[in-house]
Amino acid sequence: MKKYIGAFIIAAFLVSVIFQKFLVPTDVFSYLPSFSLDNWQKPYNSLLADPLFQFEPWRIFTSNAIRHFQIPIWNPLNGGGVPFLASFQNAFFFPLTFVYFIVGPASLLFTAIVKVSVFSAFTFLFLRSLKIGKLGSILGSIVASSNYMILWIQWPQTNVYMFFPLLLLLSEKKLSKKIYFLSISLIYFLALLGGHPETLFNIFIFHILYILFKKRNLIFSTLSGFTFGLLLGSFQLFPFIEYLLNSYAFFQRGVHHQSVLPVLSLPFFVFPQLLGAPQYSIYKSLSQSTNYAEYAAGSVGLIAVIMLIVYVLKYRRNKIVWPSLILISLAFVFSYLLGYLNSLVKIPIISSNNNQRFIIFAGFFSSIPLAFTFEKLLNKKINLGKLRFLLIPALIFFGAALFIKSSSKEGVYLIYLSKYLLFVLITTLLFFLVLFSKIRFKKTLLILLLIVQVIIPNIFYNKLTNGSEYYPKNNFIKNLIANKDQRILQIGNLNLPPDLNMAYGLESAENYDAMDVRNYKIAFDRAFSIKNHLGLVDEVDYGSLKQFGIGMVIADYDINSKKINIQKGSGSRILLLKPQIIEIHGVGGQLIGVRIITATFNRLNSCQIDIEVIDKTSTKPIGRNSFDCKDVRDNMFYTIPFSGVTLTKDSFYQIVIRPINLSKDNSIALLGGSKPYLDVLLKEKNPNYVQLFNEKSVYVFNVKDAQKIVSNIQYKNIHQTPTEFLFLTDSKKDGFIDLKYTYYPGWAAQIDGSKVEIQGKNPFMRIDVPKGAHYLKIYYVPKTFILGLVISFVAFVLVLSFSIRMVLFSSKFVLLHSKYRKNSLAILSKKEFPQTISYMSFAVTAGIIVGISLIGLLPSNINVAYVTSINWLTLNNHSLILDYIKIGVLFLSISISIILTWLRLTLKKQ
Amino acid sequence: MGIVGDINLIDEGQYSAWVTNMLHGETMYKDFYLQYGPLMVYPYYFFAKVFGISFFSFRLWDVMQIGLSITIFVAILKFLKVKRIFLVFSVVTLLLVPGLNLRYLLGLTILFLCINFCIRQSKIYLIASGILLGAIFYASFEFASISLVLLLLLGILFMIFSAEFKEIIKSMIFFLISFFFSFLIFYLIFFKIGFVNLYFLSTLNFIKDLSGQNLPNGQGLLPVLGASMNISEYLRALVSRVSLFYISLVMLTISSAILIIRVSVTKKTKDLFVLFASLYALLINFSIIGRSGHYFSVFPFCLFVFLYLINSSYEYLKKINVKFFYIMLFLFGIYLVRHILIFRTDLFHSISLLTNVSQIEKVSPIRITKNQETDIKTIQDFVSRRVKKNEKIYILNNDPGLYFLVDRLNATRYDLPLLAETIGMRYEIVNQLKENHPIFIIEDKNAWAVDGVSDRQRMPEVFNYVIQNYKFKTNVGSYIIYSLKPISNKS
Repeated sequence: MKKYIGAFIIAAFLVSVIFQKFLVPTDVFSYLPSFSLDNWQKPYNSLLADPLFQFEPWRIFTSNAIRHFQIPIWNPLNGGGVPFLASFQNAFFFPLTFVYFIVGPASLLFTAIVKVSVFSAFTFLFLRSLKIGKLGSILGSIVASSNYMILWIQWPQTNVYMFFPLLLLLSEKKLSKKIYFLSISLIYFLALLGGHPETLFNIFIFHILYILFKKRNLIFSTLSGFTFGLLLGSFQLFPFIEYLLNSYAFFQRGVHHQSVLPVLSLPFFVFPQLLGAPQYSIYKSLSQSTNYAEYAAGSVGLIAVIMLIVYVLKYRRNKIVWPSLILISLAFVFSYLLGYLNSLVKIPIISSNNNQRFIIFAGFFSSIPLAFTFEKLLNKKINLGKLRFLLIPALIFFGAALFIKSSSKEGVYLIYLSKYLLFVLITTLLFFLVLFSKIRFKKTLLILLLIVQVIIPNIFYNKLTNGSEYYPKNNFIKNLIANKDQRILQIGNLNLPPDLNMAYGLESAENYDAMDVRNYKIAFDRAFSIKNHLGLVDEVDYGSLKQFGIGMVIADYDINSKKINIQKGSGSRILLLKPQIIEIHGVGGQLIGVRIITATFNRLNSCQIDIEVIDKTSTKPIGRNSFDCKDVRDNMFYTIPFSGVTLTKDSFYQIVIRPINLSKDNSIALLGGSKPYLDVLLKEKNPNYVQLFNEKSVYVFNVKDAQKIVSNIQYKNIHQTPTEFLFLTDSKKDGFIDLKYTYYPGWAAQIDGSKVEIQGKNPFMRIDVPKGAHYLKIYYVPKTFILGLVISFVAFVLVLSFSIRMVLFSSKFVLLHSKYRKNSLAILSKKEFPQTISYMSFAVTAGIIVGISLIGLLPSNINVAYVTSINWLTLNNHSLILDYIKIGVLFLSISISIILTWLRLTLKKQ
Repeated sequence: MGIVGDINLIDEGQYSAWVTNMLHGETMYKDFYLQYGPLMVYPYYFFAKVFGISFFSFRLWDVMQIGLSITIFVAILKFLKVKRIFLVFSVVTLLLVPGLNLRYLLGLTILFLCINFCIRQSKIYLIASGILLGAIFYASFEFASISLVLLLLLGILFMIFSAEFKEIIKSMIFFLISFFFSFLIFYLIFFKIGFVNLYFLSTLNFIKDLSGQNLPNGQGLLPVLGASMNISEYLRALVSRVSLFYISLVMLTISSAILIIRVSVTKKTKDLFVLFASLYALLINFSIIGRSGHYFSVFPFCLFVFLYLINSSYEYLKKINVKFFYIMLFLFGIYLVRHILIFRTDLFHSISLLTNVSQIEKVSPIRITKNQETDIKTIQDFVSRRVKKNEKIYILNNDPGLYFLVDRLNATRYDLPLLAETIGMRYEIVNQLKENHPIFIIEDKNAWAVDGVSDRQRMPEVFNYVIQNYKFKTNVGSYIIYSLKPISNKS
């Protein structure tokens, strides 16, 4: 089996690299107006935004840092600067991420395959360790891997969750306590590096519960192993804790966060695609906060649920697997009820945890009763009687449903629902009919049927994209890149989601790492308090932009205009089947645009909309424009320009939005309250913003005189890196330098080599500079990272020493060493000495030749971090790091060659 | 070195400049920049105090250092039971080939004391090694760190292989206590003097700022590796000076591999010690990659490892294959002769200087060449006549020895401008020149362009400032003197 898995993983690697297919959902770009100016299409799976807007940009950022031999401890590109490694989710130190650093985005498919394979293999072995037969274990592992591991494969959560079955497997193996402790420590360490502490916490809870119910004697070893695992990962855990304590999200979550699954989501445990799925043409989320990925994450399908019922009815007293029933129940209780506890008792860990995700353990532990019951039923002779006759009408109805078409939305959904339920019914019936039959290939058929029911519906949830579609650089992006030094703020629509900027090396005033530096975020929300239905800033003032050093604004409307809201509300969808009339009164000025919110999802959108401004007194139209439905985006603002229309103050006007050539399914809707949402844009004098770009509803503006560094003294910024600023000042009076960069513990300042206090810390840094000529250095040294590194190192040394000792003091090794010693003396005897010397001379020569050849394969030069010195190395563009690598290669090549030759001579000798 | 030979205004000069600053009551790291620990400078300061303010006192300490180093070297070899003939051979060799430095040898001494503890089980050795390591942190951070890494590795090896795990942990704790005790004592002393925190801050900045590409001096590796060269170019490279860097590397790698094998078979503590000495030398070799001109630094360690291996296998090889023994001796002989040819070609010239007796302030009784004598006398004469005792000067080049010779303070923190490598440091010099406005700035016409990079190339900001604010005054020997422009002309 190991060989097959190995071969499979190697094949996956080769396929990923050769075909250059990336597991990055780039089609989600078309959701953004800025990336779909000419060609809007519905995203394939709109739930996959995070991998595109967050995880991949993070990986691009870290890869760039690695290429410059830097550890990306600080992200200067978002939110005025935020800790990067500390945010954990980038999984920088996770071993699978290293593959990305070598082969780039082509590795993502490979790592996804590895993650699912590892999870499935360990689930299989875990089930086997419960003395469940092979076939039952395979079926169990299929069910366990069919939900969360597929739906969340692009998230760091699965980096962590993939180790869960391994933890359970180890507790079932009869290992010595020392080995158990070491293994648990290492697995928790790896899981910690996976990059999702919350999932780590969740798997720890269920691991401990499992131990409590089944292996109480391991409780201490498990707890100490977990603790030691955390110590091994201190270098990342300590900065994370520091960030958590300084974060906005941690303190806000408890207030607004309930995190439970709605009771209505219960049926989805059995029928996950009841409301369709985001990758299908039909999909509707259960509620605003509970989408498919959340409620289907623990689903197991009808076959597994039937097995679970049989298990409860017949085998619940079985000592091996009964705890799984309790664990399934607890998983349901936690995911459906624990969040409500927060309303009664405020427990931070509950209020800040995504408790709904405990449902995945219900899914996982359901694999045990499934596998167990299946094994019990496999050899039973049960006559399903007339049940088999159900299959024929089911198949007929299913076939008929395939041919029925409907023009109405409801009809389309009902046809889908019938097909789906029939599909589930047929696969379930077939499964049980095969189970109790004696046909050939019974086992294969059973596996296939289960796969068809639980895996196939999700298999295309994730989509591969071509290299050419990978982070495109359209005119909009090129414009931003041309002004790379400016800090950007998007207002109105989602055009450049925070952190997507990292993929292009741009800087955004916002951050999206689920943490946020608290002081910055509070100040930001205070300065930009007007937010829209997307939670984005909707209106800005010049002073606030300057205060935050924002030099560029991306907007869906002309921010030089005066925006007046006429109709509030965006909670309901108003289908545009008849003209919508909105009254305007008391607004004076030259009208340059009308701003509405459009909804287009699940519609054809090939219609046209007419918009008219009517003077109510004369009832004459004074302005008119129209737009194509295909130009608008779902849930986004759209601005219709007007010219030559003057609105007189205190007069009455009407805005009429009129559909042309549309039907019920070929139309758009407008968001609003009782009337559609509406802003009017009036021409403003003395604009503060210079327009750099405009295409359809996407504008880019430059903010005049916005600076990221402000001072009242003469200064020169001589050098700047993400973690260091160097200034020279020369002034006749005392003054200051304001850095519009977020203060965070670890930032420090020196003037002429002596430490000085950073005066301003909320949220930006201010350093008081005395008069005279000075050299000012502001730098970031993350003390928690350094302390964590020391602790991790000590813990790692202890684990390593302990592990090697166990090997060395084993009887097997003692025997081997005695043979080695005896043979070593023998090959140095007078008789064998000349031959040994010639072998060893050959080893040295071979080591040198191999070393030099390997060095020849190295690049002649590599990029190194920017330095300011002028010396032989910088003048000759010579990489010293490459020299170290070359010498290291030569040293290793010679020493390994000698030692391996010696071992070969001694250990192979009889 | 010793009584004859020109003053090296860079290497010897830097210590003399720092001593000048100290004699004028300045605080190290605060008022003047140095890349070494305070314990590297204090012996020179005390020798100047005791034997007089002259280069002769500094050379006295240098000679004592070498004597002490050779004694420790021989003592360790003797402990390893190396034959007398090899001991004599090592003394002669070390006198002929420079490279043995007390700073380098201290790390080996710490390892030696630790191994002694392992063999003799007396805690006094452990205490001594801990104390020594604590002290070395105030002499050379670099070598203290290398020693600490190796001690840590040694501790881990004992933790893995020793049957008495708890005893090892106890010994490690004991060692750490003595280390921290000594570290703390020095900390308190230097705290009282007022520079200890600045020392650590400056050292950390040095590690951060001057590592990697920001190296003050040094060139890349000899282009043997990875370059497309024909056979004759390869051969030429092989006999060049810097090839000794590679030869030492290969020699130490092979020795380390042999010693690993030996330790794995014999489990002898002495073998383990020499293995660590070899690893220590390898780490030094790695640390000089960017300064491959310092290839001679590892020579003493190569000699040490070679003598131990050849001595311990002599009896065995005599019985088995004596030819192999002589081949090894011959190969090492070539390596040695190559070093001697590089360093002792001017031996007779130096001896001839003995007859050059003349009185030079702050130099006598050292005998130097007539050229240097003239240079020193003219610049001393100019400065003593034109610059008041309390006025500061600035020397644009890497001739820190001049501050000592003319007994004037530097207007900037950098006596060795070479060390002001980062842009911030270069502007710091400019700022200090603006603040202190020395009336004269001196440029050495014959200044050594380190690594072929002239000081004008290296510090454009400083030279720009000087060009804008100073004007040519006069030539004094091989020096150009610039004087401050009138205020209206300054930028």
